Amino acid sequence: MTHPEATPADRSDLPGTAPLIRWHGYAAVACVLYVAVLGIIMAVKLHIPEWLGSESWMTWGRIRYAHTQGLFFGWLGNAFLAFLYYAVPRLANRPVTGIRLGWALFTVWNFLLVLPGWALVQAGFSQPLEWAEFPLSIDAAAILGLLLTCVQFVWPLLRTRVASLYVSAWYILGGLTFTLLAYPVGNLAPEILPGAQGATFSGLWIHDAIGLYATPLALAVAYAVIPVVTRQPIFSHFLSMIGFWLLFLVYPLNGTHHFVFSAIPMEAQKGAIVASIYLGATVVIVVANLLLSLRGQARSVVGDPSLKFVWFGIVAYLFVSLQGSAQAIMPVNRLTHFTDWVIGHSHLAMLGFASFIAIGGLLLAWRYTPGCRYNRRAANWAFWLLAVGLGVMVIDLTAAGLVQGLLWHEDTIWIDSVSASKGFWITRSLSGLVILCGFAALFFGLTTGPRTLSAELVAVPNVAADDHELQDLPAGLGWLKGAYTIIAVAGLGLFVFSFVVLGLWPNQTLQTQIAATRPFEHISRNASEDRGRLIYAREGCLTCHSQFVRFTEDDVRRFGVASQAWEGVDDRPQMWGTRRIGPDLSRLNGRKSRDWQIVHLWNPRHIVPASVMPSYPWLFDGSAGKPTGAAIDLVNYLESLGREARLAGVTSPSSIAGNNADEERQRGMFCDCMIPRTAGAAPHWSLPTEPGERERYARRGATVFSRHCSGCHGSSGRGDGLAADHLAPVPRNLTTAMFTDQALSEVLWHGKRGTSMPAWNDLSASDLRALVAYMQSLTTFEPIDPLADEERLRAADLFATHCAVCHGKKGNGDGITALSLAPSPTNFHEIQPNQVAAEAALKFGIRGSAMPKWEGKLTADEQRLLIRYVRTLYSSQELRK
Amino acid sequence: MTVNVIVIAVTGLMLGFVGVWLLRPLCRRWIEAPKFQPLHWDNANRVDDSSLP
Repeated sequence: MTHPEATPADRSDLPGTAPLIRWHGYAAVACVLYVAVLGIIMAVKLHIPEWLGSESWMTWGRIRYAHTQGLFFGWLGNAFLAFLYYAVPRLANRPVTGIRLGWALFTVWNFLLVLPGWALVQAGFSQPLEWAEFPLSIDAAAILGLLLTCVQFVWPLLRTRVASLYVSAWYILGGLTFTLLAYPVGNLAPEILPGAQGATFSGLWIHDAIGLYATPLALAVAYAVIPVVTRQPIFSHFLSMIGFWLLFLVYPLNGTHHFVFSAIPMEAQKGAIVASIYLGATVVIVVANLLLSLRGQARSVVGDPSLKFVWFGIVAYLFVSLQGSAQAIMPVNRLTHFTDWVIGHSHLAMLGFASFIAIGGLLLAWRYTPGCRYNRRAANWAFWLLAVGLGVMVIDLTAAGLVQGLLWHEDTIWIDSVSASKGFWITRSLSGLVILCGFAALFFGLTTGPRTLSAELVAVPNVAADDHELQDLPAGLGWLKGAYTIIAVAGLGLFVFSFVVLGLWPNQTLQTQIAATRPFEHISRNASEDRGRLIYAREGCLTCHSQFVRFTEDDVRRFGVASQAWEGVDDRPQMWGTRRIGPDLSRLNGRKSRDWQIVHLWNPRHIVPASVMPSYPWLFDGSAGKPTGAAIDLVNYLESLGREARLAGVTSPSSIAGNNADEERQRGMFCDCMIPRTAGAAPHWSLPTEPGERERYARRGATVFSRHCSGCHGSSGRGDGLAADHLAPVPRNLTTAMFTDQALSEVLWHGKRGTSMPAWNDLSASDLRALVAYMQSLTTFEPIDPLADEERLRAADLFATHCAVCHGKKGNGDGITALSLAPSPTNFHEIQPNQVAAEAALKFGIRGSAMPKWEGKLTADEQRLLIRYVRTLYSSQELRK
Repeated sequence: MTVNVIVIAVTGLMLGFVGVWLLRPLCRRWIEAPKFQPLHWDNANRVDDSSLP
């Protein structure tokens, strides 16, 4: 029977929607070109970090925000809206709510949401939450846009009888209503709930963005494009509905899998893992149904650009979903999380799945929209360029992620994983260029070529099928009369279910846990640290540095005690992060000097030559020696990270509540070994005495020194590295003194208190031994005139009078003031300054230390005598000969 | 607890679908009917664009 509401008048809205389809399409392509350019700039900055580095609005963190939000709202949002204007009148058998409303929506979406959002995040106004990076003021425009979208497209569908609802309509209804509900909660809840409590909601939104917006709309496109192009119905509407309901049930429950091994209650983490596995099974059903719908249509897939894009997207959907399920499982998560594997995964999801299918939908809508130009050849070029570029990028990033994960598992220094990634990052940049060319081809595909339809040719869509009568509801299912009944469940019911199960419920547990474990006295951040936190957020530091040490053995060994729920009680919103290009920062307190941090912000490569971190010159007044208040605030904030835990004496991780500690350890979830490599006495890196062996170590040490030490100590160890001018005390000139193995071992293992010399105990034993050999090779032995007995007595008397209070009676550096001095006084039994260095120290003192100048206080003769005396104290003199 | 809720909910939903499918043949026709709709979209506008540049 013919649908009673299907009158031509109701459906004659195409002339009005055609310009909307065109302009949303143009906006989508313009946005994706900008997004792709941003992506390439980010990729190139990972191997040429100084490129475009002097402009704050082009710094890595800010354009990362613009990249993801631009993809979400600018590209996918506009592309889906264009498709909805094509599909909804056909699915609902009636026009969209209003053409004027359409232009209002276009204006809100592009001129109140996308463009101001980009401008604000690049100007430094942002929200440090993944997939919610636009600031709160823009969130209002986003919610308004989503609301208008619902009014425009949901309302016509709600007026349709449920028996008429094709699966695409279900996905559109579910996706739009769920996103309207989830977006405000995911954006606002972390601003209200601190730390782990906010993270439960952040995790939900991270996944809802792809799972409940991009996925349903992409599937709506796929289910529409296949039958329209092939003129063959989908394989099974029943299976498609199973897929729809399962997807809306389990997708919202996935979010917490972004924070596996975190302080979020284990029960919620396990729930997310189980839901992720269910999701994989659901996607198999959906993809099987879609691919079976293409049976016998190989020629159509090859020949029709829109179907080709959709087919690729379906295959990518299968891969990315199974990959996502695997990533949620603890053993895989432990290895791959925070690595480029996840970046490859997200590109496969947002580009390979959602974008390919969105392009398929856009091309279909384009061909049946009057006045659009359509260049089939360019569209085909777009497919192949995008497919090749994406394929290379995903394989490359997946491999990079495995390398990074394995290196983090080993006892290698962090920067080794950065150095090892550079080849992969160059490949990524090249693949990004291919992708950009693909989108440029798409632009030509949509703007050149002959016009598709003339207005006269447009006929009203014939929704109701005469030869396939719509069935009345079977007996007993009369309650399903209105689609809105179902939507009330799909939109509101599942929304509430997910937020209760993975949001509110874990929050109850967290509140109890925090109350029971937090230190009695809470140390809040001061005003400067709070300002620093805002700078940390606006510069996007969290896109490369996590602030959550997981309950895994590797994390605890490398960074320290696992992060606990009470530690984030002031963090609104939390900045846990989901990626580590640099190391985790949640245990930074007390590990680096302020000078080190300042110079590192001015130019990270001055301190760490292999670093890819951006420079932040706009936080300085022209040089590293002139930090602005903003730089000081940021350093204060960095110094506050982990301070409370340190002062509270948190020294070892505890079992996750309710779990057996032994069992957890067996599963590699945490170790009770605290921070083994920083505790205890330094190992003694003694060197082989054979000359050939020692030289071999020294040669290797030169390489290690160049990579890790030359920024401060200079390429030849003269203390004249790029950072040296801005450090107090200045880095030691290693060519002007001799050091025992023990002295070098000690300072390499623990760092040097009161200086910018950090601990290097994360270097391998062989690297440390090689460094010792190299540093000892930098200076040559200078013979000393032996002291006559009388001279020795006189020198000892001078030393006891003037030097022993700091350097100790025997010159061991253990005088009565030594403990309160940083840096500590020199132990002359371990370090022997050469003649020139010793003279300079007496004459000028040592800047940044307690060593005063003795010029004018001691005669030249006394100074010479003291120098000869302290140089004779060096214990290894004979050995060194 | 969370895991149990999820497993029970998913299992219940699946069983519900399969049960209706098995026990109510009329439902099968009813639920499959909408899949033919898109076959009629833009029939009047269909052109062979394979020859387009």
